[in-house]
Amino acid sequence: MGAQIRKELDWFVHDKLSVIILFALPLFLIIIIAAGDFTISDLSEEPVVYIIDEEKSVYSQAFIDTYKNSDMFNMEIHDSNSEPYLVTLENCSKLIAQSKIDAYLIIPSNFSENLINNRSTSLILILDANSKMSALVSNYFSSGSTLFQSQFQVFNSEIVFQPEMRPDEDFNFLIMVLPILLSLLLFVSSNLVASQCIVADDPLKRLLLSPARRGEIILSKSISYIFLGAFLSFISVLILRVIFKVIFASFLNTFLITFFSTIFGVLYGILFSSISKTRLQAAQLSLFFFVLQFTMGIFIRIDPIVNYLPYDIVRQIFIKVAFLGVSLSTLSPKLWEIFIHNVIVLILSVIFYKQKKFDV
Amino acid sequence: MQNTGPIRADPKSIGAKLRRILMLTFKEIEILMNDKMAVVLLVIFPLTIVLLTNFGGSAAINTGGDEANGDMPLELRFSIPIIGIIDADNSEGFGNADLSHEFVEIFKEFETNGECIIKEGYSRNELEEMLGNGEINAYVIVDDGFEYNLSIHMVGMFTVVINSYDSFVLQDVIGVIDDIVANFQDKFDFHGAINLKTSTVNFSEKGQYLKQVTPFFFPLIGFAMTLLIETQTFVSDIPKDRMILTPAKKGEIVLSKFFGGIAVNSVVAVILVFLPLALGMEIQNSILIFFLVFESAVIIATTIGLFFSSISNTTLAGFQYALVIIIVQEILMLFINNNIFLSIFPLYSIQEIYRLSVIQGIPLFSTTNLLGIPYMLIIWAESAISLIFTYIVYKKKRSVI
Repeated sequence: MGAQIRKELDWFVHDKLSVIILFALPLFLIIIIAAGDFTISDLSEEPVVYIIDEEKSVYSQAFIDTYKNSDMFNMEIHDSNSEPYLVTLENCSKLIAQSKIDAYLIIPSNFSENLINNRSTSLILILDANSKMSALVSNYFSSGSTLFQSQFQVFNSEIVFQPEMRPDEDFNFLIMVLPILLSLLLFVSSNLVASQCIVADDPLKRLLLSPARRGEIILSKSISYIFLGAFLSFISVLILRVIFKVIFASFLNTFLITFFSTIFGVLYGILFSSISKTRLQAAQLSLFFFVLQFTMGIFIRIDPIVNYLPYDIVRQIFIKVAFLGVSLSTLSPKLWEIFIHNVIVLILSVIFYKQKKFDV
Repeated sequence: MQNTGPIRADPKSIGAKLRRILMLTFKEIEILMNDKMAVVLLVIFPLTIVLLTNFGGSAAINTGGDEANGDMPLELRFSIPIIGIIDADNSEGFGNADLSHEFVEIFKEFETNGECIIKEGYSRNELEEMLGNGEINAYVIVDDGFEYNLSIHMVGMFTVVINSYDSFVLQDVIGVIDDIVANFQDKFDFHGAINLKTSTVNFSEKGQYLKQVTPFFFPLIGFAMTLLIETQTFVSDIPKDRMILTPAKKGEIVLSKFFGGIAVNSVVAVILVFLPLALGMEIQNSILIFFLVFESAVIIATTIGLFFSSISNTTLAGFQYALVIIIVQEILMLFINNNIFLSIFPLYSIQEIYRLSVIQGIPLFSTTNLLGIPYMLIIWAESAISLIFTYIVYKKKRSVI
């Protein structure tokens, strides 16, 4: 088995593109995302919002100016006081139906009268369900209203909460995305490389005829790729700590958690490779699993499936271990779950690989 | 002596060239269809994702909003947040109801509905410790004076302490608490000085979930599956040597591979267009435009795939290039928010055309990046450039064979 592990490592080292994928790809992406503060460059779209002022008073204009004059609200605002021919109810209804504006707001004619008499005044906000920025616009108008009320000291049984953050500090972009980035990237890059390890094995026939058992072959491939995965995880965490000064509660524990990502990636890769008959199939399965995890981990999140996705398992425990400093012993039930999960994947690989004898 | 045999067309004539390209295209389709399992995966892959999104989306943990009342979920929820709660309000003043108690009861109603998990009966220090250990995601303290302030039409305050490391849960905690506050306000008619009444238009009863989330990954499926297959075309071409020696020119071979690839991979485009429509997804543009968007994804992926296949020396290298291109684009798109930079990536451009033109109904060529360049033009230009480069690289490969 030792000889087989050496052979695997030797094959890997000679395949330059595999080395690039396993090491350069994740490191390149980590560095580019960590080094470039892309959120500051602010070259994203602004939602287009029309405001119809039915009152046209000093108060209603002040309310509009709360949004127009503040840097907090990144919106393109057109109001009926400045552009009376453009911002009409008829035009707003027409434009929003065609998704040409993201939202429109109607300030009623009794806006200031209600406020002055300590009554509640209703504003109507119409959002386009097709717009990806409807949630943002809704949040902007909620916080803008609070800002206006504070400025003019108008309250009427408001229920307000002030969020306090723990830790109470401004995170940089990297810290916010790190749990997703690391768990996804390390899984994907190790999975891609490992998914070709059986199906692309040139001396497959020889291996199958050699005294080594199928289980030993799978095990030796797993050990060699997991060894490479450990190296990748270590370098990733080291770069984050040394170059980007990310503070982890425990460097060793953080490394171990990221190492789980590469173990998952390798073992799933070997499973895909043992199932597939051609390289294309192995690559398709690898890609399918990436898209599945990406879709379910970020957009759909169907319970309980999402809790068994390798990416999400690692993401959740990464936050606890790397940032909150929870000890691994506290997480032992979860770690046992990960261990059993990986053993099942490994057993499945051996079963599928054993069935390959008919094809040789 | 008179030649009585069949008159052969001039091999340099346009008709002969077109015939050769057509025959080579058929050959390419046949080769691609040979890997039956790969073709099955080509169909199963988009099919699974579309069905999973449609049926899984409605069964997802929580999407916020009250869909039964036609209220569109504005933000998707990612988790069921665990929230500790302390009622520290001893004030009075609102008739018969204990407002802080009623407020806590609404948290419990949300727990019963599966929207959050409540932890009660702990001190602030204990909750702070639990937050630090990751046992809870947030805790709420209903401050003293809550009921009194509301009864005199002032501001009822409460504190929310949130673990800020998990950006998914952070958003969910605020979303759940916003909904709880809205529920409480409705129950006691506390609408504040400014009551923002929100409603949505263009909301469709059927297929709304598909509309909301598909722009993020439908283009990915069309692009990725095609790219993966196309990176194998040149590099795994078994009769390559023979083909090089046939009268077919390199340009004709490249064109036939291009057309063959489009023909096979259009299966994905057909599934991605017609299945969501069959599931009731409403679009704001014609089916032809919908199809054209995904066909453009297939075309750009085919040309990029052909290029990387032409520069690859092994099939493994071809796959690796494909997967690197897909993953780099997807990861950068997930974390970077710069329209001009991202519009270089075909996957981003396709996503934007799909979202703006198909979902929002903006005319195809009016969907532009912040520099005003139509995304479709970018896609087509990139396709043409990739095809030209493929031809150049493939032509130079002669010396290798």
